[in-house]
Amino acid sequence: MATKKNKAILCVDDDPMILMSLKLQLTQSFDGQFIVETAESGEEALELIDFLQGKSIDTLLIITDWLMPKMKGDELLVTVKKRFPTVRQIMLSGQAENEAVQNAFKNSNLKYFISKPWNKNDLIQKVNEVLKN
Amino acid sequence: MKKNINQHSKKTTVYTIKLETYLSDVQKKADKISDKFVVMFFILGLFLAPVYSTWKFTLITSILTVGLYSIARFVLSNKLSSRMIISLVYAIFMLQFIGQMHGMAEIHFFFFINIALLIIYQDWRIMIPYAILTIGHHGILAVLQANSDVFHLENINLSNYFIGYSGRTIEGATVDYITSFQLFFHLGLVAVMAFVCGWWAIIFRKNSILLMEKQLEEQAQNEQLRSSEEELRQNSEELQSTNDQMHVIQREIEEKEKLLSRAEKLVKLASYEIDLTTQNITYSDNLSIVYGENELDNMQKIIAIAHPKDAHKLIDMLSQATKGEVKNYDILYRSKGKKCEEYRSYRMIGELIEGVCNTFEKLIITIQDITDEERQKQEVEIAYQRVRVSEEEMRQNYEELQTIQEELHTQKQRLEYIFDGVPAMIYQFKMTPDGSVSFPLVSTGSEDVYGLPPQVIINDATSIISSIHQEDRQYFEDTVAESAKNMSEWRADYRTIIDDKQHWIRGTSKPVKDKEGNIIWSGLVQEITIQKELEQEIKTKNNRLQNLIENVGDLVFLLDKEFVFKEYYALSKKDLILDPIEFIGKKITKIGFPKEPLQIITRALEKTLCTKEKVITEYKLGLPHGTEWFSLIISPIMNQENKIEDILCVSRNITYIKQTEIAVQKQNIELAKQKEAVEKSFVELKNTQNQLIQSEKMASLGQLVANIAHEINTPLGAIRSSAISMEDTLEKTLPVMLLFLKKLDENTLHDFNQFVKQSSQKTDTLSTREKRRIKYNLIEELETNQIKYAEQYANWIVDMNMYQESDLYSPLLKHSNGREIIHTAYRLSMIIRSNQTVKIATDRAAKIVFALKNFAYQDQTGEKTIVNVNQSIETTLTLYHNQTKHGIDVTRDFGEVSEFMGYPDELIQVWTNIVHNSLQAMKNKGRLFIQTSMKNDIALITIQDNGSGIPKEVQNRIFDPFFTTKPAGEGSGLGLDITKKIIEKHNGKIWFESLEGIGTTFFIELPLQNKIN
Repeated sequence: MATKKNKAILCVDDDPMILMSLKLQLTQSFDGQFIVETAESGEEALELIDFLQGKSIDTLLIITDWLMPKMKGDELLVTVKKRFPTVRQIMLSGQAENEAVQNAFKNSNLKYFISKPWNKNDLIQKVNEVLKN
Repeated sequence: MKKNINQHSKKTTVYTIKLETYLSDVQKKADKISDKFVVMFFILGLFLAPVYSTWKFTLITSILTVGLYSIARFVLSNKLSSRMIISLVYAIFMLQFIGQMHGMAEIHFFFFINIALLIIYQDWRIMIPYAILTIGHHGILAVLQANSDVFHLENINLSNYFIGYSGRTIEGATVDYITSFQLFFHLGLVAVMAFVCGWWAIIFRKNSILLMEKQLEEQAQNEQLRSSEEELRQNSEELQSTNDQMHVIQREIEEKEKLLSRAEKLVKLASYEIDLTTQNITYSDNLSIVYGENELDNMQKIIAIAHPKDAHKLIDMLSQATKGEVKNYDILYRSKGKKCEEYRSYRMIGELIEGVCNTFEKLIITIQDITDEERQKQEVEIAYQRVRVSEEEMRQNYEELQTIQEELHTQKQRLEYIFDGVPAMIYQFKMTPDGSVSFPLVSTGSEDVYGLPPQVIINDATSIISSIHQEDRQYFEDTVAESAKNMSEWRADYRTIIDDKQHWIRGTSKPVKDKEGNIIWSGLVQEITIQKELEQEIKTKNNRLQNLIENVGDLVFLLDKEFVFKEYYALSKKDLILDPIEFIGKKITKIGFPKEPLQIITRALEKTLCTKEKVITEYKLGLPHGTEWFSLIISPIMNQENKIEDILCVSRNITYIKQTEIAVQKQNIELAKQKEAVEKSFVELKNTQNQLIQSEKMASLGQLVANIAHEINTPLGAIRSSAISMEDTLEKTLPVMLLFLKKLDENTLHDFNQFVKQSSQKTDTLSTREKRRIKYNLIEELETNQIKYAEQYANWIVDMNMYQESDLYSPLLKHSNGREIIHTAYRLSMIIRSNQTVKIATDRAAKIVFALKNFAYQDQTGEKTIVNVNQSIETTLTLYHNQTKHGIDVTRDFGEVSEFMGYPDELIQVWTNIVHNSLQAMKNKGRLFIQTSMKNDIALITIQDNGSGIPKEVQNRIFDPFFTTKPAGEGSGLGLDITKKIIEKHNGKIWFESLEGIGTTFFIELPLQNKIN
C-alpha cells in the first residue's frame, strides 16, 4: 500500500452527478489499486491522459459517456485509440446513436457498451474483465 | 298654403351683425366723407399758411397728414388701426390750424368739429388717439413753455402753437403764458368732449345696428312672405289650369253626350204632356209603342210599369216639377210594358212649361227607348273587353302585340269619331193600301244618307230608289214589302250612291197601320258606312288575332260561367285533344277528361270565378302517345257591371319543358347524391386527419419519452449509487467508529470533528480540471513533506473540498493515526456528500416530472385556463434540457408577459414543435435564442436558431399539413400545421424569417385576450 499508485481508471461524463457516482463505485471497488480520475469532456480526457503520462501514471481504462457537448464519446475513443492504443475502453451511455456506437466498436478499442442506468456489479464485473486482458 | 305661410312666419330668426364687420362697413362710408374733409382741411391749411407765414410748419404737417391718411386709407383700409390713424390725422389737422393761427381761441373750434366728424365712424375707441394727441400736444407745449429756460426754448414762441393767452410780463416783455388752472380747464374740456363723442358713437352704433338687424329681419320675413305668396300663386295657377282642363274635358264630354243623345233620340222617340195637377197625360201615337203598354193616360200608370228601383226617379221628377224647382229633366230609367218581354231602358227628357201667374202646370216629356242602343253599347263593350282580355293575354307572351294594341287604340279613337258623327234621317213613310208610297216627313239628314234634300223625297218617294245602289234596290224593296206584309219592324242595311260615292246606310222603322189601312213607318235612316268599315276592320282584326293565337300555337278556349265551352281558337284541329264537336257547347266536366286533370282545371276555374283574378296552373294528360303536360292560364272576362261574363282559357303544351325540368330534377338528385358522397369522404378525410394529428402528438411524445427516460434515469442512477456507497461506507465505518473515536485524544477529536464539520458545509465550486491541478499540487506538496500515501490524502482532501484548510488537516496528517482519521473523515463526508447528491438528483427528477406533467396534461374540458407564456416555454426547455445541454447555447430573454386565458398544454406543444425543429436544424449544435415581450396587450415570442435554415423553395409550404423535410417515418408533417392551428385558436399569428445557412427565426404573436391582471 505504501507504493505509489501508477495506474488509473478514467471516467468521462459531462454530468458531474454521474462522475461522482462512478467515482464512488470505482473507488469502493478498486480503492488502493487504481487512481480514479474524472473528466467532464472528451477534450479534458485526452488532456488528462497526457497529464497522467507526465506523472508516470498509466491510464488503464477509459469509461466514457457518448452524448457530450463538442466531442462525442465515439470520437473520443477513436482518438484515444490512435494516441494511446493500450488504453481499454468502455462506453457508458443512456442515449447513443446506434451508428456512433457501431463506429466506436469498429474503429476503437471499445469492448463494452453499458447503458444507463447501470448496475454497479455489472459495471465492476465488466471493468474487471477488461482489465484482465 | 295658408298653413305654410304661418309656419314660415312663426320661424323667428335672430339676425346679428358682427361688430367688426359692421364697423368696417361703416368705415367705408365714413371714409368717403373723410376724403372730402381731408382735402378741404388741406386746402384750408394752404389758405391759413400766409396769415402768419407758417409755410414751413404747414408743409411738415401737411406731408404728415397726407402721408398718414394715405396709409390709413390705402394700406390698412377698414381696420381698427386705420381708424385710429384717421383719428390722428384729424387731430393733426386741428393742431395744425391752431399752430397756423397762433393759438387763436376761435380756431380751437376745430377741435369740436373734428371730433364730431369722428362720431360718424361709430367707434368710441378712435376718440382716444384724438384726445391723447391733443392733451399730449398741449400738455407738452405747456410744460415746455413753463420751463422754456430749462429747455432753452426762449427764442420760440411756443404759445403760438397751442394757445394764445397773453399772460404775465416777465422782465418787461409780455409773455404768453398759460396757468395750470387754464391748462387743466382746457384739457378737461378736451377729455369731456372726447368722452361725450365716444358715448355718442356708441349710441349711434347701437341704434344703427339695431335698426339694421330689424331691417334684415324684416327683409328676411318679406322674402319668406314673398316666396309663400309665389308658392300660393303657383298653386292657384296650377289649380286654375287643372280647372280649365277639367272644363275642357267636361265640355268635350258634354258635346259627345249631346251628339250621342241626338243620335239616340232619333230612335224610338215619344213625347207626352203631363198635367201636373191631375197627372193626366196627353200623349203622342207612339207612346204606347215605345212603352209597349196601351192606355197610358195617367202618370201613375207610367210609374206603375217602371222598374221598381227606378220608379222613384219619376216620382222625384213629378214632385220637383210640382214645386217648380227644376225646369229641365233628363232621366234614364227602366220600364216594362205589357207588350215588352223584359225591362227596357228609357231616356226621359222633361221640360217644365210655365203657365199663367208663374205656376207650373205642365211637364212635357220626350221619351226614348234606348234599350237597343244600350244593348249594342254593351255588346260592343263586351266585344271590346273580350278583345282586350285577349290582348292582355297575348301581351304577356308577345311583344308584337304592343304595336297591335296601339293600332287598336287609334281604331278606338276613330270609332268614337264615327260614332259621334253619324248623320241620320228621320222620316215617316206611308204606304197606302193600293201600294202608293210617300214620305210625309223627312228630316234634313236625308242629304247625308240619300244625297237628296227632304223636299225632293217628300215630292217623290221613289226618288230615293235612284240613290240606292243598283244591287241593293231589290233587297230594299223586298224588305219594305216584307215589313208591310208582316207589320214587322223594318230594318235594312243597304248602300246608296251619292256623288258616285257609296254609302252604307241602315234604316230602322216600325210600321203602324192607321184606320184607313195605310201603313206608316216612322223611323230613322242613318249612315253606317263607317260602322260597316269598322265591322270589316274588327273582322280583320279578329282574323289577325285568330291568326296570332293560331300561330302562337296556344289553344284558346272561351267558357261561360257554367264552364261550358263557347269558342275555341287553335292553329289546327290536330292540336286539339278532342274534336270541337265533342266539347263546344258542353260543360267541361262532361267531355270525358280524366279525373285528375279535370280536378285541377275545375278548381282553377272556380278560383277565377271566385277571385275574379287570373289563375295559372298546369295539368297532365295521358294520351295514346304518352303523357303530355299543359299549362293553363285562366282569365275572367268581365262585363260592364264588373261581373264575370266569360272565362278565357289559354292552354299550351309544355311537355318538352316539363320533360327537361324532370331531367334537371333527376340530375339535381344525382348531384345531391354525389355531394353527399363527397361530404362523406370529406368527413372521413377529416377523421383521418384527426388521427394523423393524434399520431403526430404521439410521435413527439415518443421522442420526449425517450428524452425524459434518460433525464430521469440519470438522477435515479446517481441516487442509487449514492445509496449504495452510503450503505457501503456505513457498513465499513459504523462497527469501528466507536473504537476509533475512543482512541482519539481530546485535541485530535476536536480537530477531527472540525474537519468533518467544515467539509460537510463545503460545496463543489471547481471544475474537475481545477480540482485535479490542486490535487496534484497537493500530492507534490505532501510528497515533499515526506508524507506517505500522498496521493490518497490528496484525493480525500480535495474530494472533501478541504484543500484550503491546511491548518486543519496538517496536524491530523502528522498524527500517528493520521491516515485512519482522515480516511474516516473522508468516509463520513462522503455520506453527507452522497446525501447531497441524492437531494440534487431528486430535485432534478422532480423538475422533469413536473415539466412532463405540464406537457402531458390535457385539458379535457376544452376550457381556457391561465397561461403563463414564460413558464410554458420554460417547461418545454426543461423537457428538452437533455438535448440542449450539450452543444446548444440556450439564451432566454424573457420580458414581462401578463398571464391570460388560453390553452397552456397546446401552447407547450407549439414551443415543443418549434424548439424541436430548431434543434434538428442546428443538428444539436448552435445557439437558441428565445425572447418574450409584451406590447399593446400582444405577446411576442421569438425563437431563433442558427441552424441550416429553411430552403427558400419550401418556405411557403412548411405550414402545410403533411409537408415534411424529414426522412419518411420520422415526422408526420403535421407539427407546424398543428402549431399554426393552435396559434390561430388563440387568435394569434405565426410567421418566420429564414436564411439558408444562417438560421431561422419564428415569431409568434398572441393577443392577450382575457388578460389577467
